Order: sequence, then structure tokens, then C-alpha cells
Amino acid sequence: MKPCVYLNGLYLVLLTTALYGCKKFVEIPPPVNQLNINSVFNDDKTATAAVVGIYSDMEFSSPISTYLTLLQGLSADELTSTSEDKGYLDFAGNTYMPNNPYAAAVWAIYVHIYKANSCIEGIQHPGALSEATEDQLLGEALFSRAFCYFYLVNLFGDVPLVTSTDYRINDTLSRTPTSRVYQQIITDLGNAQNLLKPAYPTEQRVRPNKWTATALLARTYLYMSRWADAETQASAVINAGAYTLMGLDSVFLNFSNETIWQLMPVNPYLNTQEAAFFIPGSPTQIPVYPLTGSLVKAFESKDKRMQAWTGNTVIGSQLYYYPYKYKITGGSPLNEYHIVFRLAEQYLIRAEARIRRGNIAAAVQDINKLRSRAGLKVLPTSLTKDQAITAVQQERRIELFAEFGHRWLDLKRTGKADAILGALKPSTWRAAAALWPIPQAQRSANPHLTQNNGY
Amino acid sequence: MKFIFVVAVTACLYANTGGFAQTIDVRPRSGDSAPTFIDLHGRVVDENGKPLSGATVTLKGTSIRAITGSQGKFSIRADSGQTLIVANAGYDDREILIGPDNNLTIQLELSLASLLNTTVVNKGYYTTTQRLNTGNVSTIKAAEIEEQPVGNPLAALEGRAPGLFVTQSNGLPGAGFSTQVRGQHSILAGNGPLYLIDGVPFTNNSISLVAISANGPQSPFNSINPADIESVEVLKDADATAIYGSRGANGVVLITTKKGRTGKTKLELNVYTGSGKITRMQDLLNTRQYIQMRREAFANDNLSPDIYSAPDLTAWDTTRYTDWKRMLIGGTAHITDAQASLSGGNAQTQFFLGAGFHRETTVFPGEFADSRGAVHFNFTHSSPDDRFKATLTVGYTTDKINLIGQDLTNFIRLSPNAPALYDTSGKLNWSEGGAGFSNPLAYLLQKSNATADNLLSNLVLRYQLLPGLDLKANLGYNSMQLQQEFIYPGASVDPMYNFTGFAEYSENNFKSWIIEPQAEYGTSWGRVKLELLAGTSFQQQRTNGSITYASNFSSDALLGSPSAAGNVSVANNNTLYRYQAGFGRISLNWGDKYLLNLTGRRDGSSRFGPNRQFSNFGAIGAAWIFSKEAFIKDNLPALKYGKLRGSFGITGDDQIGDYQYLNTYIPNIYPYQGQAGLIPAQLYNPEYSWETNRKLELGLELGFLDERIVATVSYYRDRSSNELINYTLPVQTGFNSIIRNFPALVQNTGWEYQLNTTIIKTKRFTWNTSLNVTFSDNKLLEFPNLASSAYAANYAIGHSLSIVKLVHQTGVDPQTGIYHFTDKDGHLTSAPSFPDDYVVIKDLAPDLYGGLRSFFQYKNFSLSIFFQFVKQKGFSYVYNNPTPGSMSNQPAEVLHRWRKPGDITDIQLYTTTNPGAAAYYYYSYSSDGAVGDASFIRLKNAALTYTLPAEWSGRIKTGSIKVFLQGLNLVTWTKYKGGDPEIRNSFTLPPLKIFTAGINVIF
Repeated sequence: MKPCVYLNGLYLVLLTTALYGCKKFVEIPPPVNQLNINSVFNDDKTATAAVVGIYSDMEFSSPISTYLTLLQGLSADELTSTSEDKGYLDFAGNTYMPNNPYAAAVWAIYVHIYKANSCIEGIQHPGALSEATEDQLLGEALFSRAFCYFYLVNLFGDVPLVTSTDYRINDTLSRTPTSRVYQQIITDLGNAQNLLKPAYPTEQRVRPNKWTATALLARTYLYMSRWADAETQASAVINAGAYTLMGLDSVFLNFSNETIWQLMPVNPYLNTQEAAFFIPGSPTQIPVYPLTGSLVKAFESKDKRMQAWTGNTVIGSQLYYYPYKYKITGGSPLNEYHIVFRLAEQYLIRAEARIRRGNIAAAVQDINKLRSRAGLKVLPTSLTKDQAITAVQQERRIELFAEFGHRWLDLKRTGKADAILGALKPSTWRAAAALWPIPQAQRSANPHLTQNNGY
Repeated sequence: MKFIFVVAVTACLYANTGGFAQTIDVRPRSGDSAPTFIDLHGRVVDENGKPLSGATVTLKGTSIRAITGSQGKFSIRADSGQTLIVANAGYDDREILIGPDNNLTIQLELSLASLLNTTVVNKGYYTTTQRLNTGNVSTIKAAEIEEQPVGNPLAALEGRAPGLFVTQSNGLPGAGFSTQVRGQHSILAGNGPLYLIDGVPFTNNSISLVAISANGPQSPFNSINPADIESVEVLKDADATAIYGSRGANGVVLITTKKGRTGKTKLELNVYTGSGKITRMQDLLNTRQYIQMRREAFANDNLSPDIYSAPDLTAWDTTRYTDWKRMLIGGTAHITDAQASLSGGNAQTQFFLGAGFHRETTVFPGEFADSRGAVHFNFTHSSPDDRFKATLTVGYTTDKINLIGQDLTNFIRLSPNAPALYDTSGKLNWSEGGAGFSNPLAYLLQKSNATADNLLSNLVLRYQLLPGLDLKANLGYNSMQLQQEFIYPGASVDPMYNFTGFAEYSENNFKSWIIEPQAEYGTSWGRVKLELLAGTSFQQQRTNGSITYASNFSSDALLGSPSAAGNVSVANNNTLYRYQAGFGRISLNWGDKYLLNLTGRRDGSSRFGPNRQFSNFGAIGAAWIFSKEAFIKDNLPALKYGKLRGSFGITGDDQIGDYQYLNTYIPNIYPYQGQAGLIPAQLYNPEYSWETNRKLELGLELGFLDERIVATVSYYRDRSSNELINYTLPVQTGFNSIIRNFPALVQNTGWEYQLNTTIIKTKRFTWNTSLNVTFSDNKLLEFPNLASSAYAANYAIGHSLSIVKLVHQTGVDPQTGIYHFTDKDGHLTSAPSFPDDYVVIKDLAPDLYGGLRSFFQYKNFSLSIFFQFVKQKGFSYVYNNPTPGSMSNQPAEVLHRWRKPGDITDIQLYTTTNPGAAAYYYYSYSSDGAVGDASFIRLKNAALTYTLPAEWSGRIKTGSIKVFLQGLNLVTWTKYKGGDPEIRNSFTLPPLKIFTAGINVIF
């Protein structure tokens, strides 16, 4: 039996070794290219990198940089599509359905909200961040969250308001009323204004400052018809002294002093996605997303913006116009950044708010700043209120075309969508199309999500 | 702690060798022998009288033995009246009573009956014989691999073993092979078997970082020289795999490399060369047919072609014809393979030294090739008393693959009248008549190069501590290094776009080690034999790599140098996997009649979160050799061998990727203002754990007529539960999914048949066959709330995991000429909606597969013929096919299109636009019209060998000379509409049909 004793002993040794040694053996450190979440927010540098990650992510193959301008332009009366892609054609005709892949892509703005929430939680966790960094980063993250919700709520109506990172809670959240989402946007922006400084944290205005939060707040108040607040916030930006209107050829360059916030291109093969989408690849190619005839006609003759900001090409006997605010299709030279907020919009916000409050003369002065730059004759201060409203909408349409969907949201908030788009797309427009459909796949994944009317 | 232990065991093994060798030597020494002993000399020969080297001659009842030398000679000191036992693998043992004659010639008969007894079945940690095996193990021997002119050893396994389904991803060198043992078990985790080469874990998962290469991700097995392989064992059931615990769920493939053998030093040279062409690809329209199609399409659409919609009709020469299929993939690949080996040894020490070179070009135009050099070394030493044995095996290969980024099969559909490829100045041409085209030769400039270095080494130490008790340690190390570059020059793009080139460079290092100390104990009480095994396993795999994306070069000439790039970004790949286990086996054998085999393993893996790392696995296997029972012997004398076996056990699957449970941030690869942003890697779920796989097997093995007919039938049922899936989350959670265990249940059942027959066996002529057939069935049995999950569109309860859900097409409307579909209610529709109308289910998994090998030998000629067969469905050429009538060439099938009202056909009218194009879109992407029969029978392999008569080879002082012809994928019979039915994709290069001729010389 001696061998058995040996064997038992050996087996015991082996198993003990196995059980004793292995516990630690299989507990491995995180990989060198990953950081544990706790250590990310324990250090100014890595915490900053986490917030910067929000922007590089927004700019790289994100719905924000890729689709907001294009899809809203197609939905409104700015762009048409010559592409065979049914997903885009459905936006041009407002016939999108819950299975539209691009509507689903836009809904994925929530990935940025997660990142902002993760930063907000991480930064607020008592840690080792310096106070100045903590304020700056928290302000940026709150701004980013508000910015994302602004588009979600305007495009889809009620949307789930997610303010934490716990998927076990978030995966069943139902849609929050629009007013409550707006309330959160205003709260976040108010906090961001207090936390952020007027100075940009880095060069080139690629991370938001106090005035960026203010600019979005001005826009938000405008959309809520809180005219006095909108005027106050817009004035704050205009009077900050940091921004001036630029010549038409410089507005969309990365050093433009008109820019309030721009996203820096990160894809080495692109300046902006807009240039890649809109500018035909060769002189013989039909532009994939040409401007609508209606928009081309809306330009007053002699408007220098026609020359400076649109391009055209003749294919066959057909003349096509396309947006040409951004002009560089490849990755180099890297001179054009993705401008999200610029001063011109603040003038237009203030003008509209002033008209609504009866101060037409001051409003017309704001509008005329842009008309003068475009080489157009100035408007008289004697306009009636209705004329002034029409004038400011016309100016918004031309000044802000093919930029982050201003036109689509303007048509909706001013109640003109039915009249204008109904006339332009008589066979396909329907009132319910003003809100994009909640993506089908999202409703499958979260049965608590209701669909918008008409889908 | 564990390292100290390992070192101690190893040191102990080394330290004790010398001592024991001196003290326990039972062999007689000169002077010890009694005067009656005689010096006996003899010679052992085979049935043809040829000497057998390496045969063992043992004096019965003693440990005295001798081993025959190169001429089959031996000498042994024995007493007359004693008995000699002469044994050689593959031959019947013979007992010889020693008479007065002291110079014997002993002839051995090639054994049939003993094959089952002597064929050693490697089950990884232990071996058994085919007869006594309680589990299901299929073996593929070197002889079957050597007769196939393949570059990748996995290619040699196609159709060779029941339950093993191997498919090639494309016909380019370095292409991947997918391997499944008994079907798909896991929805999300890996489904490949565990590979062990001489006990060292190897991976079939590519370590490619550069994603752009015509052959897809590089197959790690392309770094294994098929000529170095002695045998491949496929472990399938719970009895065989449970000892591999969490990694056994998908089966285990054991690869054993060649070892030195006792006997005369042998130098073997083997050289072959040959050529290959694609197996099959549909014929496409010629220019006349193509132009007619285009014009008819415009006429059908009531459109007139212009330079934008139809440059082929308006700007290009409508009479020019280029056969793009022939030009781009119609070339001949050249294959050259040379192997040399030196092997031999004496009773104590054996060695094997091999070197090989393999080069394979492609069917593409231009010089692209895969060249591999390999060396393989094996050294075995035993102490004179056989108590200590060390085996060292080292293999090193370097493999260089020069290819291009794109598979040119993608471009054979170019308009057959597309412009000339070169302009008058000899530069690439990009347009004609003012209309541009995408010049396919430009892709030849987009180079994708890879160099793979692979070092695989293994040391096995074995020491007999006490009679019956052996200590053993298996120490292995594998290092794979893959360097890749992809060069995309600006010159490969139409200059009109003013494109500047870019490049990607990567290096990925995969290093793994394994340490497995073990103890084995064997004893017997009367007819009962007991074997015990216990061991532990420590393993680590580390991957370190990076990929550099470089752009903004000032010149194409500098694309090879990242430092010349204006814009560089880098991504890292770093992973660590650690694995630990304790395992054991208890085996009971009652008179070679009743067999019981218990195996178990406790596993820990770093792929799971804290507290979820460990789990237990085990199996019970039993066999009854009923042919040993008296009532069988009496009543069924023809049945020489009959065994009933069964096993049940639990294995696991941890192929989920590393670190998936961590709550971490990772760098975003594109920096923002020079700063690399950090983004959350995934949602945090520390809770997930192993998939468990319960395997049940029943087998019946029968041998008739002196075991000239051996039949095996096995039934298996594998059920995988606790499935790891990407559980769908609404994106409002920040991610689309999270990995978690899910109570889905996947079942694989099947019947495996193997029939080996020796039909004729005479001295001059031999004919034997080996047939294997597998019927397999895969079913998703349970998946709670499937309809609301992300998998709703992919799976259905009661169906295989390989299904596709499609729209039903009702054919071409005889009036309009356009495809019609039915919606979920059976109503006709022209625009089906996803996913509601996708209700037709087609299973793309194979229903049946197998192979039939016949081997004939007549005098000096031998012929081996192997047929592979698969019954399956697959996407036909229609899948992803551009609309017939659009500016893309078409298979000749489309000529039978609808032309006028009343035509009944299954090809719709030619069209370039809606609604015909939209209907075709649904037809080609997502209707049942795109799926058809993809079954095939293939003359996969044939090898004709002629051995030069011994007197000829003797004249030039060699042992033997053979000349041979070999072929691969020679003939394919199929009804498949498309390219090759194995590939089942018309835009991927088919496998090659290869002919080679070669010579084998042994000195």
C-alpha cells in the first residue's frame, strides 16, 4: 500500500497547489492599454483625457458629426438625395419608418450621453482632482450632456432622460416628457455656465468654455419661446468681446474668430464630414446631396454667400448646387474644423427674441450685421413685426443652411413645417413626420419605449 | 508557491536520474550469465522478407530484450528452452522457442487483428489503445497527410474524420480554416476546438492586426509544416474531452509531431512541384451578351443611356472584350515543396531533425507568393534502466506572405468592354471617352505583406519513482510573431481624385507557456488493472502588439516608412490570459472486458470576473467488450471484436476574449488636439461565467472477419447551456449590448459512422477503404424572449444556429417581369418589411458530410483516392449580385430572363432602376431565391506512387526511391449555382485544383 500513500500524498500536494496557487494566478491586472475607472478620475490628466474622449468620439463616426447636418437638411427643404440608398431617400421624402438605419444611428447619440454621465459620476466622486480641473471638466461634461439632449428631444420628442451609468436601471427607462428634458438641459447648462471659465481650456476653441454653454442656453430659451432669457444669454455671448464676425471666406476656417465651439477633426482622412458628403468626388459626378431648388431660389440676387458658400456643377444639361461652406474633402491640409456654435447664430437668436419682445429696430440692426457682410442692402428699422419675423427666418435659412439642421428645427418650432414642406413634398409629407420615428430595434430592446404618433 | 513546486519536481527528476540508473539495472551483465547461456543471433523480417528494424525481441518472463538494427539483426544472450517474444508495431507478435539453432530468421505477419490492440490512441494526458478506448477519438495519420499537397495542415483534415467539419475561407495561401467538432455549440463564444501541438496549446485564432489582406486574417496554422506531423487526433466525446475542462466543449485536436525512432540513421528527402488553378467559377457574359443586356435594360426602363448612367454604352468601345475572370483569377499558381529529415537512434537516444521549404504563388496576375521555411527537431533520451526519459521537441518556422489588399475575385464583374488597362504611355488607364472606370490592376499596387515567425517547443520529463508510479512534467513554450504591412499608394487611385497614399504597419507577438506536472500510477490485482493520473496545469498567454496607421505621405515611394508620414496614429493590442487547473483520471479495466474511465478537472480562467473564475468539469466513460464474452464467441464466431461504449460528462467553453468583465477606460485611437482621449471600454458586468456543455455519447464498434471489417457507429448529443451572449440593451444604456450568461440551450446531435475494410489483401495486391459519414443536427432548444432580443432576426427556436431568415419570393410575374414576394400573411408584396416578413427559414449548416478513402497497392504501385462529400445549402451567386441590367457583368444564367409578357422564367427582366432594381435587391439579399443546394462530392485527393524496385535503388545506394503524382480538389460534382460550393460565396477566390509531381528518396 506504500505506493498509494505516496499517491495520495502527491495528489493532495497537486490539488493544494492548484487551489492555493491558482486563485492569485488567474487574477490578472488590467491590460496596459486600459485604465481602471477608479484610477481615471483620480488624476487630472486622465480625467481630462476622459472628457476629451467625449469630443474625439463625437467627431469620429458619430451621428453628431456624421448625420445631424445631412439628415436634418434632407428632412427639411435644404437638401435632396441622388443616392440610391433608400435610407437617405426616405429622409428626403420624410417617409422614414421605424426601421430606418439612419434614424437609428442618430438615436445612438445616447452613447455620448453615457460617456458624459460616466465623467460626471467620476468627477463628482470624491477624489484627487484639483478644484480648477474638477470645475472645468464637470462643466464640460454637463454641457456635453445638454448638447446631446437638445438634439434628441428636438428630433424625437419625448426621450428617456438618462443621468446615470447603471444599465440595470437605464435599460427599462421610458420616455420622459419633453418639458422635463428641457428642464434638465437648462439645469445642466446653468451649472456649466457657473463651472466653466470665459477662457478656453486649450487653444483653437475645440473644448467648450462658459460662452459655449451660454450660446446653447440662448438657443434653448429661443426654442422654448423664453424671449427675454434668450436675449439675455445671446447678448452675453455677443458682448463677451471674444467673438467677431469674419469675412465670408474665413467663417469656416479653424482660426475663425466667429467660432464659439468647434469639434476638431480626428479622422486623418477627413477635414469635415460635410465636405466629404457634399462636394462631388470628381467634376463628372452628380452631387449626392444637392441643394433643393427652393433653397437656391431663396438666395437674394447678389448675396455673396451664394458665391462663397455654395458650389455648382453641370452634369448633362442639369445644373446642381451643393453646400460649399467646407471646402476640403480629404484629410490635408487640416484647415477646417467642425463648427458647432458661431456668433452669427447668436445675433439671429437675439434678433428673433427682440422682435418677439417688440424691439424691432434693435433686432433689424442684428440682422443687418449679417446682411452687410453678405453684400446685401440693409433692412429698414421700420419693418412690421411680421415682416421682421419673416426677415429673421429668411436670414436664418440662408446664413445657417446645411449647418447642424437649423432649418429643420426652425420649421418645426415656428409651426411652418406643414405649410412649407407640405407644399414642397406634396405626395409624401405628413404632419407626423415632424418627429422622427423611435427606432424599431430600440423598442424591441426596451419595450417601455412608446412610438411617436403616425408610425 | 506553485513555481517552487514545479522547480522542485523538475529538479528532483534531474537529480535522481544518474543514481537510479546505476542501482537498479536488471539486465544481465557479462560475467553474470550462467555457462548454459548461448549467444543467439537472428534477423527479423516482414512478410516479404525485408528486414524490420526497431523490432523488440524479449526473453519471455524477463526484462532482457534487444532491438533489431538496420538489417533487422539482433543478438541476445539466452538459454535454450526459453522463449523469445518478437514484437513490432503493426505486426502480430510471435513467440519462438529457442532451440539449438543460434542463428534465426524470424518472419512477422502484418497484423490485422492486432491493429486495434496496438494502435495507440493519444488522449492527451494519457494513451490507450483503440480496443480499450472508452471514448471517441478519430486519428489521421501522417500517411494520409503526406499524400496531400497542402500548405496548411488543417487543409489536410477536410473530410477525414467523422464529426470534424473543416472549411477553407478562400483559395489564397495563408487563408484561414474554420474547424468545428460536432457543430456550433456557442452563440457568441468561440466554437473552435482546443488545439494542442505536442501538448502545447496552439491557437487557430488569427493574430492579424492589419485587417486588409486578400486572404483574410492570416491562419496561424500556416506556420505549421504539415510534413512535421506524425498524427492528428480529434477528441470528441465527454470521456475524451472532460479532462480538458473548460476548454473541451468544442472538442480537442491533438497534433503530434514526428519523433526519432530507434534504428539505422535515416536520411529522407521529399520534393514535389506542381501547379494550381481555381476549382470553379461561373462563366460570365461576353461583351456582345453584356451590351445587349444593358441596352435591353434601358429599353425596359424607358430610359436612354447617357455618359453618366451608361459610360459602357456611350463612351467605351462596345466591341472590346476582356475576360476579367481569366485575366484576374485565371492564372496558374506554382507550388514547390522540399523536405529533408535525418532520424535515427539507439535504445537510449533517438533524434529527428527535419527541415522544409514550401512556396506557393497565386492565380492573380503578378508575383505574389507564400514562402515558408521550417525546421523541426526532436530528441529523446532514456536512462539505461528506462526509468528516466526526456523528450525535447523544437519547431521553428518563418513564413512570408506577399499579397495584395483585395481579393481580385471581387472585380471579375467589371464590364467586359471596360477601357484598356494601360494608356499609350504604359501608365494605368483610368478613363475612356470622358468616362472613368476603376482599373482593377490598380489593386495590384496595394500590397499586403506578412511575415510570421513561430517557435514551438516542448520538453517532457518522465521519471519512474517506484514501480508503477511515474512522475511527469510537460513544459511548453510557443512564441508567434506576426509582422504585417499594408501599402495603399496614391497611384492606385484615379489621379483625378488627387489621392495621397496611406499605409498600415503592425507587429503582434503572441507568447504562451504551459507547465503541467503530473503523476501516473498503475497497478493490477489479478484481472483488474487500475490506472490513476493526477496533475495540474498552469498556463499563460500574452499578446503584445501595435498597429500604426500612417497617412499624409509626401510621396508613394516613402510608404514603407512610417517616419515619412505626416499623420500617424497607433493602436495597441495587449492581452493577458492565465489559466490554471487540477485534473485527474481513474481507470479500471476488468480483464480487458469491462472498462471504466473517470476523468475530472477543476479550472480557473482569468477571462472571468472575480469569484467566477473556477468551475468543475468531469466525465464518466464505460465500455464493454462483449466479443470477449463466451456466449458471443460461441454464437457469433465471425465477430472478432465487439465493443459497446458510452460516456457522459460536462465540459466548458471560455473562448470569450480577455478582460470583458473589467470596468475600464481605453484610449480612443485618434487623438484630439494631440491628446489621446479615453473612452469607457464596455459596460461593467463582473458576473458572467462559463458556458457549460453536457455531452452524451453511445458507441458500438464491431470487427468482423479477422477484423478486416471494422465498423463504428456513434451517437452523440451535446447540450450547451448557460450560453454567453451579447445580451441586447437599448442604446440609452450607452452600449448596444452586454456580455452575460443566458439560459439559452443549444443542442448538437448526430450519428457518426466509420467503416474500415480490407477488401483484398494478398502479397501482390491490397485494397482497403475507409469511409466516414456524419449526420449532424444543430438546434436552438431554448432562448427566453428570443423575439424581443437582438437575436430575433438570426435565430428561431427549434432550428439550427446557422439559419438565415428570408422573404419568400414567388418568382417572376409573367406580366410585369418583376420578382414578387409574399409578406408574412402570404399576400403579394413588392417591398417586404424587415423583420416581419422574413419568415422563411433556411439552414446553412451541413446535414451530412464525410469522406471515402480507397487505397490500392499493386506490386510497386500504390494509389490513394479520397472523395469528400457534403450535403448542405448555401447562398448562390444571386446573393449580393448586382441587378442584371446594371453596369456589372453577370453569370450566363441571366440570359434566361423575362422578356415579354407571358414569359415564364425565374430570372426577372433586365433593368437599371426601380421598381425592378428594388425587387432584385430584395431577391438577391434576403429572399429564399438566393439560397440553393450547395452540396458537393469532390475528388479531394489522389496520390499515385511508384516505388522503384529495390535492386535499382540499391544500385545507387539508397534505401528506397519513390516517385509520385498527387492532386488536390481534382473534380467537383455539384449543382451549386455560383463559385465553389465549399466557399459558398461568388466574390471569394475558390480553392485551388492542384497537380504535383515529386520524388521521395530514403538513404
